[in-house]
Amino acid sequence: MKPGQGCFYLGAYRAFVSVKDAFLLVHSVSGCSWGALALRQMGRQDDVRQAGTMVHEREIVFGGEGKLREALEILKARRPKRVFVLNGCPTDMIRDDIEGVIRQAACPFPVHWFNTAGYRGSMREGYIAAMCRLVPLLEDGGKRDPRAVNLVGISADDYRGETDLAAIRKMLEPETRLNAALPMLTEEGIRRWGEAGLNIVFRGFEAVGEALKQRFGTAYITVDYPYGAEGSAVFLRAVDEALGADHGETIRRGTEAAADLAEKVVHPLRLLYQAEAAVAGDHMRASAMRRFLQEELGLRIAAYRDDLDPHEDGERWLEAVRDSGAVLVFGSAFERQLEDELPLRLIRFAYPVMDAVALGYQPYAGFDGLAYLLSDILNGVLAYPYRRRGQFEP
Amino acid sequence: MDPFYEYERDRVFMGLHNAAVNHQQGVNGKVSGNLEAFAQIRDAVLILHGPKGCAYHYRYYARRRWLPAYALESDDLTEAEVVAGGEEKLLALTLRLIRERKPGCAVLIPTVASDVMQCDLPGVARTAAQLTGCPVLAVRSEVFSHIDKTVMRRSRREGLKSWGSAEPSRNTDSKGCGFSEAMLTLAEQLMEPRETEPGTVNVEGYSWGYGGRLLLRGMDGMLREMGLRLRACLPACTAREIAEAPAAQLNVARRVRWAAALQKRYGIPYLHVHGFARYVGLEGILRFYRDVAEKLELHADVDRIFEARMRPARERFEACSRAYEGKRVLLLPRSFSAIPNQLVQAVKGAGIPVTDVVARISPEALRQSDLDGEMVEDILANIRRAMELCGVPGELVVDPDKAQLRELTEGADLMIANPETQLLCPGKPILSDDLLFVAPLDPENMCRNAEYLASGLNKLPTGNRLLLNRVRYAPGLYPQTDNEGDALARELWRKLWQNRGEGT
Repeated sequence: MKPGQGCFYLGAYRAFVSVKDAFLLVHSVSGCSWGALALRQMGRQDDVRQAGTMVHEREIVFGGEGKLREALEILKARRPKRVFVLNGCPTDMIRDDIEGVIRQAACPFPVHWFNTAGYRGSMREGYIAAMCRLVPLLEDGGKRDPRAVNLVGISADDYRGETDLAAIRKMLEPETRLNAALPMLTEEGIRRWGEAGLNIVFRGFEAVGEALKQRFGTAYITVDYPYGAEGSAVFLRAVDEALGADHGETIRRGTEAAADLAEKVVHPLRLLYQAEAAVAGDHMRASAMRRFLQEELGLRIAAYRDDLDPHEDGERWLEAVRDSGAVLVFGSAFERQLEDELPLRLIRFAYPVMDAVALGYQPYAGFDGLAYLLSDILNGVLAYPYRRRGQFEP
Repeated sequence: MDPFYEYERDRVFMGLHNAAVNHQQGVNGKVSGNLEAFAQIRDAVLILHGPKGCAYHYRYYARRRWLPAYALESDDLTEAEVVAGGEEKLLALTLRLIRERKPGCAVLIPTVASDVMQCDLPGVARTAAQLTGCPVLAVRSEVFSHIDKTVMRRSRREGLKSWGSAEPSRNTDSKGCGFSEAMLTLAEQLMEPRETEPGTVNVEGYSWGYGGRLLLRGMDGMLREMGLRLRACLPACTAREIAEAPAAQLNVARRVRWAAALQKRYGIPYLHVHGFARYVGLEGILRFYRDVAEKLELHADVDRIFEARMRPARERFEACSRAYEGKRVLLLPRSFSAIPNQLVQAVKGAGIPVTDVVARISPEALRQSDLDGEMVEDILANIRRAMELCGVPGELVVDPDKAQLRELTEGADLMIANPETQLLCPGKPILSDDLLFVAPLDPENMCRNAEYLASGLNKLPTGNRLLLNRVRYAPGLYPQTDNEGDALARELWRKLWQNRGEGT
């Protein structure tokens, strides 16, 4: 099969690495730590914050606890704010007593272990489970602020994750206050999580919303990732309905800005209408992107794949794209294989993206994101090196 | 990859570069058409004789916006040369480029400035050819700047009267078309007498629409079954191949004067494809090859030759039509003048059994267009003819009011329309009328197109949240935008050009 998503460990990694300033210790063979780092490093080369215990043949035979102990001793000397210990499949298979080692080490900083052996499930399951694992670490904070909201689902590892979060914050404020985000937590966000009057949970992460509700009694709403003008308006209206807030003016201004944008590129948009496209990515982003492309751009979706089915074989989706007239593929850097095979353009929007950077404020989400998303889509087509020898040339 | 998707990819990757705004309120100069022809020649040096601004912007010419003519050279006429003559400079540049690049030919293209100066391009071409031995062509401007609007209107008027017929109108290819002028230049100045190669056909590489390369490949496959073959796609080949083009036994032309010149000079017959309505659908495809056979005086039984390909094609095509069984299909395109072709294309070319046709004739669009009352009547007559040809059961509905339109759209299961219509009737699946552009000349690709459309019915967008529909369009002038500056530009365009010489 061609895996459509990674393992449980990779998903958990994406959640834990999103906690700002936390250090990740991957108790496994070198490939586990390396692989996760490799998939996130482009555009984040200032942010390594992780190491592997470099388990090798000797540890598989005699146990790897010594390596973990050694690693924790080194960390003790450097005193990171918080450490997440993740393990790969091999150290789970040899039944290392990770919890015992952590306890004995008595580190002067919080050390949290979560069994992240890859075979425990899919990347999506690992991501959700790790977010749920973070819930007990969150604190009540001070007084409840009924205007404050928390946001659940965006990872720092997501392509444009941080900038999308900034765009969503900009849409929400000042009518509401974005209190904290999970898993993109800061130490302050951990402390004040419980202050929010509402948790906004992106579709597919309802289990995390439930865990938060049980822990803090906070209500949650499920929303779609806000791509496009309509997507953003629907997102804000859902928040308004739940909180009794009024983002009417933001919606009006955003919608007007969207009309202005569309007017500037009305002919390319018209000519793109009903072109075929394909989408692949995590459910949160992929389902919202599909809606945006269908409803707001009028594209025909020839093939769609997300990560809801943990056993999905990516090959079926690839075949569906090959057997279509798709000119645009929305996916991760792994979908570039189609761009290499076929005359089409890849628009990177889903994890992982290792072959592109998006520096500065260039969101795809929210009213602000529409300009960047639309530009990238149209530029993707307009700059595509098509028939560079002429229409009738072989 | 199924090569059929080349149609769709051409439509997007080439089509998105469409200069719609310029064409709504402007006419490109004939240099644009010149370049559409000459830039296809693989080994030609192209020199635009004029101030450098002409070559600078004409590199990005109208017909091939996705691929500028990077190699276009300018001899950069300055004020001094405009006064004293620029031939010497042009000759020097021509000689240098021929020496440096050793092209198959050089082409000297005039600009308005050089035409005003009456530069002797043929003289420069002769001298350069004598000195270098390289063929040097000089385009002779047939008109000033670009095609005349009255010529265009006459051509269009006659085109409407001959819609779907075998005989094109007399003025279908008029002086002022830059492409035609260029092809004629090639026929008269580069092509040489050759001994006929039996069974060979030249085809003009122009205006076959998106997927044109695939269309010609399909045509070649069909011709081979008749014992014929495509010899060259003109002018998308080398200068030598163009020179040898008169070896063909038949020319298939879109613009016709070059082919007529070759017939006059060398006796080569030609088939003029002046519109696609005649050749759409399985019967239309057969008709095309019957026309080819007739022009070649082959006396071949074309129907029998292709029977093995047509039989399964008919079955495939009928299966496509069944996908629409019981559905009420409304054709409601943006431009009512496009209805005859779109209807034939939908029914005969794609197997979509259109049940109702609506012609919306916006007075605003009519005022801005080049159509007079007689032409409108001709279009309506062609629509009715197309409806009869296609067996459309309903009556033609012209300019329905809101209530009528609502009734029609509510009763439809599928609409062939434009994005604007999604706003009028949310929830209804709309097949973009832009998708009805595929008119292959072989049954396999034709069936593939019908299957592609039929199998995609469940993918059609239905929502009314299109960004496109957030745009403020000028009333009745979709997709032109509604703002004061644009309105003023439209008014001036109409008064200074469209109504020029008519006292408006």
